[in-house]
Amino acid sequence: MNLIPQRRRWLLAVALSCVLGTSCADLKAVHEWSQTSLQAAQYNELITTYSSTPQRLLRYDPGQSELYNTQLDLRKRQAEALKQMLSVVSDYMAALATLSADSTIDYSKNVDTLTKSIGTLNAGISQTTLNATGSLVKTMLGAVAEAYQAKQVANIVGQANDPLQTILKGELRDIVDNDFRRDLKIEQTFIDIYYDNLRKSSEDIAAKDGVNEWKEFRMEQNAKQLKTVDAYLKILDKIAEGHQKLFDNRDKLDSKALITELFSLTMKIRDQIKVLEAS
Amino acid sequence: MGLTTDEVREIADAFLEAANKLDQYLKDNDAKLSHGQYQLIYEHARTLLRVATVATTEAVGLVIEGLKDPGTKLKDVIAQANEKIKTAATVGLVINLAGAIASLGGGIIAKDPNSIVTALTNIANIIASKS
Repeated sequence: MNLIPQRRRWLLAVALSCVLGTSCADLKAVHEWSQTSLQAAQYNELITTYSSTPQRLLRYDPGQSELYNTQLDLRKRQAEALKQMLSVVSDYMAALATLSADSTIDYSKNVDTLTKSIGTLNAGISQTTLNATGSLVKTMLGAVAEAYQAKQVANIVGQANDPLQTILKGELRDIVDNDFRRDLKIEQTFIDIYYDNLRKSSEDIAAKDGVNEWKEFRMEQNAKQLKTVDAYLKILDKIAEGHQKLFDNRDKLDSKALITELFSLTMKIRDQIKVLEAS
Repeated sequence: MGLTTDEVREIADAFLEAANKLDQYLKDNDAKLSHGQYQLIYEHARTLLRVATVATTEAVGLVIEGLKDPGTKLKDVIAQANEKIKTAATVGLVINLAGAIASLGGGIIAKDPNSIVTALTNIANIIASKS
């Protein structure tokens, strides 16, 4: 005879195994990693730099406003599409961060209410026993909640890995690595020839010095922007790598190896975020 | 026949490289060049950079109609032109070559197959010349 329904048996089994100290997912590493990835994916300054390049190029190529205004319009539309693509990634990371957060499911208040209710029944149960009962119930429900969270995280990671890898390792990465980088190198050459020509056109030494300073300033700005391309690519790679590891270990999210790797990737992403913020 | 994204990217890279070659040529030969010669090469370099910018913007969508086997042909020609700029014996040759590449760029911006074909022929003739 089956006295306990199947779902309750499952909950009980999970709760007991957790209480007895067997595996229950610690999702802190997943949460930290996805939270940091979310922060990185929200950075879209590179797209703004790309879309506004024609505006900057007009400085070095005056008299071409029609061409650059057309380019500006096209790029504004492209930027919108790219930002939408990035927002899909950040929305996903936000979902993963929320799902793996400690505070997702909190039964504490319900359990406190329950123990108070039992106390008011005046059934001769001591306060010590009531407290112990409440504590045990909290532990069990917390464990069940954790197991439920881990299952949901595994589900979402399992479903999202293919499309996420396609975006992070495919089109988005190609655009940043090829087109954004080339765009900045075009600007670099424009700066170089424009200021060289300006310097050559002047006979005055002070004016030549001024031109040199401006060239240096613009070149430094350009070099910083090129550094952000490298940093951003590293971020995309680390997010892709981390998610692949999550996918490969989605059935053992609390494995020590995974936690260590996610922690290390989180640190690396944070280092690159600092580079982005500094530029 | 349309260009693939990779082909458009390679064209953009090739034009940027050509502009960089002209930039280096201007630096290396600054003292030898007359004002007019310098300005001419400078203007051509700017045109090449414009083409690289347009090709970058249109990396996905740029289509050049009426050009047969465009990707390989353009890449090869520009690569040869870059090599020629490096080894050119006379300023006149560099100016002619830079002008022909700039015309090619103008044709690409305007998406005009006739001027592209003419420019390609000019570049090929200059490369084939002995100077």
